[in-house]
Amino acid sequence: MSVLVLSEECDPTTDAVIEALVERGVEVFRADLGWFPTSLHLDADLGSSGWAGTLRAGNREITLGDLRSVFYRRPTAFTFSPDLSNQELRHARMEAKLGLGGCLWSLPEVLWVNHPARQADMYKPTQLAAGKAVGLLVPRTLVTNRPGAVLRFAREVGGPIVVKPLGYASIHEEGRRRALYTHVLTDDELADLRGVETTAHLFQQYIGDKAHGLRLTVVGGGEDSQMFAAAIHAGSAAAAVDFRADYPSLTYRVVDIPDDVAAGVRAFMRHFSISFGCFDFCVDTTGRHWLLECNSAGQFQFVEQATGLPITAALADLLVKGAP
Amino acid sequence: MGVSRGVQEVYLLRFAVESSAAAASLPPWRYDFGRQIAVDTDGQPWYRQLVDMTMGTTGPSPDGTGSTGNEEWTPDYMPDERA
Repeated sequence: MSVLVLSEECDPTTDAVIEALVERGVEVFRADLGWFPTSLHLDADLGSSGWAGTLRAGNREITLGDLRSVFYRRPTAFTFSPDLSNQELRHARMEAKLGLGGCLWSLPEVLWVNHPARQADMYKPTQLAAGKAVGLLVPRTLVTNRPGAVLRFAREVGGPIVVKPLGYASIHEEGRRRALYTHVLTDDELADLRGVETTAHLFQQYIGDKAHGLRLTVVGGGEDSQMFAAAIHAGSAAAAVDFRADYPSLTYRVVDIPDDVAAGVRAFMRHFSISFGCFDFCVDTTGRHWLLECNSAGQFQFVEQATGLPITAALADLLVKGAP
Repeated sequence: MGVSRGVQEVYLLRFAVESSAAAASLPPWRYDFGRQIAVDTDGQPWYRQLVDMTMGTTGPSPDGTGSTGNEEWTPDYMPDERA
């Protein structure tokens, strides 16, 4: 019985999980997809029971038929010879995805945490719609490339609105990295909406009467899933809007979550067929939990370190247990 | 190097600010193929020496530069492009 871990080489979260798996006596094979095809090798043969064969990296090898779980964390992209032309690269990328991916996806009775195709479904607008459908509270949200729609939305909300990224939360410019935190729009910024038309933008009702943020880490996708909830208290104005803006100011507290929120989160996990999720909520002063997003490969070590919540152990146990 | 005009035109990008975590320098590490984890210069598990370990590190860069920090990752069906 073995666990395949697909992750980049520099990922302390993965390292902690691997140590926990080793402590449990599990055979672990870790690889980055960026190693394929040069130093990660696939040898898969279609037999009567499906794809059978091995993955090999260096002097380490794993048998596909022995896999119980795959921890798909944050691998980098396939890396090919620099001698390939652009057309060859495009071809090679697709072949690698379909070949390696296809063989791995087909393995029966293997638990994926989480399957990349399921994670690819989780675009933010899709998440928010699913959250509403399962009964979670979601702030009013607009996705548009029309400045007029933003003004209409602002009038209808009747209070502060924010703009936030749909995808990557940073950009590299002028030789340095700049973050894209959730930003509360001023009247002046609403008066000049030039640039909205350049691409899709996400605007959202700002929950101003916020008591605290909440990070809910869920391990396991079934009714016996484990939920680890930590209130995140902001110690600065910047962190109050987006806690990522000022990590040093944050304090954490283990909390319980209401039964209806737990039920909604489980339904959300079932909807996307995921076994792990890091949910961000905003909790207002009346105790309402507003869903902001779920990251299916989110960070959780900082919460575990601050609170002692045994998330790594739970994740290792899930990977050892495998598919139900 | 001047700022690309294209970057300035997207509305959201007006609000880009210096990252609070990504600028932090990380302790040196190397990947230990035998133990399948990153280790520090003494061969000890690298993750254990990190304070607030996952705030200031990890996450593939979307543009080929260094570690981005924070929650930088978006789902993809096996990333097409080299980060």
